[in-house]
Amino acid sequence: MTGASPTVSLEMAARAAGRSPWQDAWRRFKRNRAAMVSIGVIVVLALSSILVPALSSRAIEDVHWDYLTIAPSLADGFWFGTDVNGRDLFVRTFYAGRISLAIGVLATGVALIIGVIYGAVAGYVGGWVGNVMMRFCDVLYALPTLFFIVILVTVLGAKNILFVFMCIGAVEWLTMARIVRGQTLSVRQKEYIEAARAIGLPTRIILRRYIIPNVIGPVIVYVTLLIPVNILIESYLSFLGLGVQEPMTSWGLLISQGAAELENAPWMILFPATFLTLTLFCFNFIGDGLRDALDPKDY
Amino acid sequence: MSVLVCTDLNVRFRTDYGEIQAVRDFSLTLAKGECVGVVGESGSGKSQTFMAMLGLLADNGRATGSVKLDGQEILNAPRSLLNTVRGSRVGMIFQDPMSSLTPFLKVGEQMCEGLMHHQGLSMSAARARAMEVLELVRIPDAKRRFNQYPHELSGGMKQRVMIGQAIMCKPAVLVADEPTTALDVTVQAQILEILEGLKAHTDTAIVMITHDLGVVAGICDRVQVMYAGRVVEEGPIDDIFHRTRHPYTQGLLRSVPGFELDPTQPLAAIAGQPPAPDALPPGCAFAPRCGYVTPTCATTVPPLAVRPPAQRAACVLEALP
Amino acid sequence: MLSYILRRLLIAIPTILLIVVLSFLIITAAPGGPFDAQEGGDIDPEIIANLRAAYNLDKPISTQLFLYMKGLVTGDLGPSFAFRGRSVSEIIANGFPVSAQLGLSAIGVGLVIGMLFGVFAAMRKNTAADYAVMSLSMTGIAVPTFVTAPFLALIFGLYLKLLPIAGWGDGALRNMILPVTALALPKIGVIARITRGAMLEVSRANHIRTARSKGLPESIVIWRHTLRAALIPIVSYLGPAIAGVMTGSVIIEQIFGLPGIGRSFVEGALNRDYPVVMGITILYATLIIVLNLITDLIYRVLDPRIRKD
Repeated sequence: MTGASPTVSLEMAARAAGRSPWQDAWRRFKRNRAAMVSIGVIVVLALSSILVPALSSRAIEDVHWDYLTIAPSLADGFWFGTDVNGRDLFVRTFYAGRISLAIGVLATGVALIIGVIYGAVAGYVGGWVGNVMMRFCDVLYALPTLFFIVILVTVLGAKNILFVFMCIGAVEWLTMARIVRGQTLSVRQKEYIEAARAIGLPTRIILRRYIIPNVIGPVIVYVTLLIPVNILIESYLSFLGLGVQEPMTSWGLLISQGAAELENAPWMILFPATFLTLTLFCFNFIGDGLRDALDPKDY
Repeated sequence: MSVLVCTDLNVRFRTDYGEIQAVRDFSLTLAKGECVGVVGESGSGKSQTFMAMLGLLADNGRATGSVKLDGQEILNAPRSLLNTVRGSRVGMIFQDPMSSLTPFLKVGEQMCEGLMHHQGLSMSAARARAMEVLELVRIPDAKRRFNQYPHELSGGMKQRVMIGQAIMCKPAVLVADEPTTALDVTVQAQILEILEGLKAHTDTAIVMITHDLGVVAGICDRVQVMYAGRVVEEGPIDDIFHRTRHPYTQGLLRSVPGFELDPTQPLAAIAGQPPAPDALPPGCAFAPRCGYVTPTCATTVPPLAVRPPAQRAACVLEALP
Repeated sequence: MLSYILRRLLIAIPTILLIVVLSFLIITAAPGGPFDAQEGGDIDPEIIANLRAAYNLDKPISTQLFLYMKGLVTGDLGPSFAFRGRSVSEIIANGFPVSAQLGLSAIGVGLVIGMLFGVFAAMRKNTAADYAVMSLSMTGIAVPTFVTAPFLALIFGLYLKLLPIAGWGDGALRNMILPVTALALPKIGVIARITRGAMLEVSRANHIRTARSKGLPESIVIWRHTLRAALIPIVSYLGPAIAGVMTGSVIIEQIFGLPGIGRSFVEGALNRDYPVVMGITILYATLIIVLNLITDLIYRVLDPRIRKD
């Protein structure tokens, strides 16, 4: 951090050629090695979570009576070992990944839909309606996320993954709404929008050409960063026994079972914990990469 | 006796799209008490030239050449050396007084901290000097202003404070980077008056970086005109205004109200845009916009040709008799 | 200043009321009551009816809400359903100090180490040292506490036998170290990243260029001219974060068997012990509002421009 007049390089770069900001962003993103590797890892993880349980000869609920709590071993064919009930952890870990990833993505989808609609309406309508809408958000902000989700989950008696992700999404949309409203408002006040209005461009063109592209960047970044948060929330819930229920399983549930057997079967926690952490890592790297690419500042 | 001698300064920036050269072969000799104007459009490299001299370039910027302050090389010097130069022997004023002062420190604290650091003075000694300086930059009610925060001052006041803090240590050189651009016209005049006062009453040499020839006319002894990173014309103020050599300078003069070469003609803008710094034409950078363009211009970069007694211009026409 | 605080507190009252009503409605709208478990059993339905009457559950929801509000004004959060003979206020009074001590220690550790990391990384932007510190921070964020906590317990408790793996021990330092560490790691990560980003953001500001042009040494530029502006996003993060940790980390209290209110909350939710859930939610909401006010007051100290109001 030695520089003092750093705008100059970007300005020059921007002047340098008529590239679209999206091409520019993609260029910057591609150079971010951590983010590119992370995308690869997520794709591999997602694919193997779909394929491994489908192709494996063992089912997640199969109990192998002769192999209770055995350590990972290639010879026995239990690559990740088995749990106290003699279930194959290799299949279970990937199957759990399927559930955890799905809940993370679906919950984020729910939050995205609610948040974008709510924020866009509040920002577009503006005035006192918009203010009241955002005051309501502020009130909800005063509720702790995890508490709120726990209340929702227990109140709905949700022992079902459909409810789990709906509940997470129903609580996690607040920040999304704020981002969308903030962007809509700030863009609306920009000179170039005024200019576009002044020359009589219809609202739908202003929306499509100026407002949506400006809102979309921060939303993409936030979505990418919300997925790991939601995966984490799901695993917290499952860890507390409030989320995914047996015979289904998720990384959080596997970790909770592993934590209970930490002393005599550390591999039970090791594999799901590694996979969960790796996933969280990758989504965070991708989110950071997207933020740097879409909103270039020189750090 | 020259205080600042800059020879063949080149400034480059590494960017996503390759290297961009912002300043080419800039040379300047600044005498004690002299005022030199550096004129050019935005992007002509005039600010970056002086940022480079003082080691204030952005992280992706590199400077080559030589800059000597009182005979001592300071270009690319270690930060410890630069920190004994900056604020002490060379003061700087920036374009935007609104954002150039630290918002959460009192005006007085900001004025005094440099002096206290450079000369190891106590707060009370520095405060005495600050009161002196506040008077010099014509800030009334100095005692009260000293304890105020920047946001409590008007734009013109802030710029006076900026000038004040730049001259706290009685620097040999004062670099004023577009000091009036962000201000109202009436306030501009007051700021220029203050700078003129400094020139008249102190030994400080002033570099006035501006895009406004009107500013230059009032205060400068000499002028350098920059275009696309290169000095295209330089000389004493009278020569530049009345015996203009370079077509770009002529164009600039024609576009300033009050300096029309022929007062009956309407003001004329220079057609076209300055070239992008990574896409300079192979010959003279001004050729695409020049009214006197010749075939040679597209291939040759003209050197600065001396036109006695002290004027120089970089134009192929200069080579003609 | 005083009128500003009063005005903010006045706005806070309807917010808290709204939260009370909202959570009350959500909770009472739930199918099934707290004594459902017994209903299927061999307990006399008359007893259940008596229980329901004793807790006012037989009355209409509006009356229940009114009674609850009435109690709330006097600080009475009602009786616990699950722990007979204990009031919610008692449960909170017992658990809150534990959660608060734990949480504040973790935030304190996170703040000090996180800011040091962040400033260090910003000063060495894009060097190996920067990447190393930032990768560590990312690890702190990405590894969930319910993974770090068991491993910490395993290593320092079971293998090395240095520290107790569970229990509060009346807040003894020995008992605090592991839970506070597990709780602080993600905070360190987040605060380091916020600090670094904010430092770099501010370091591009014009006033930093001015400070450099005055020949000030890097230490003054950073500690005097940069950090204070960079504190603003950190303070924004701290408000909700403190409220979060003070009302208890559900997970950490569960794993280390600590008697905080986070645990009471989860048990309350599982047992349908609504008064406990409500009470802790209201406590949290109040804390958030108070902390937001404090945050805004700190902004005014950090940035004199906001002061003129």
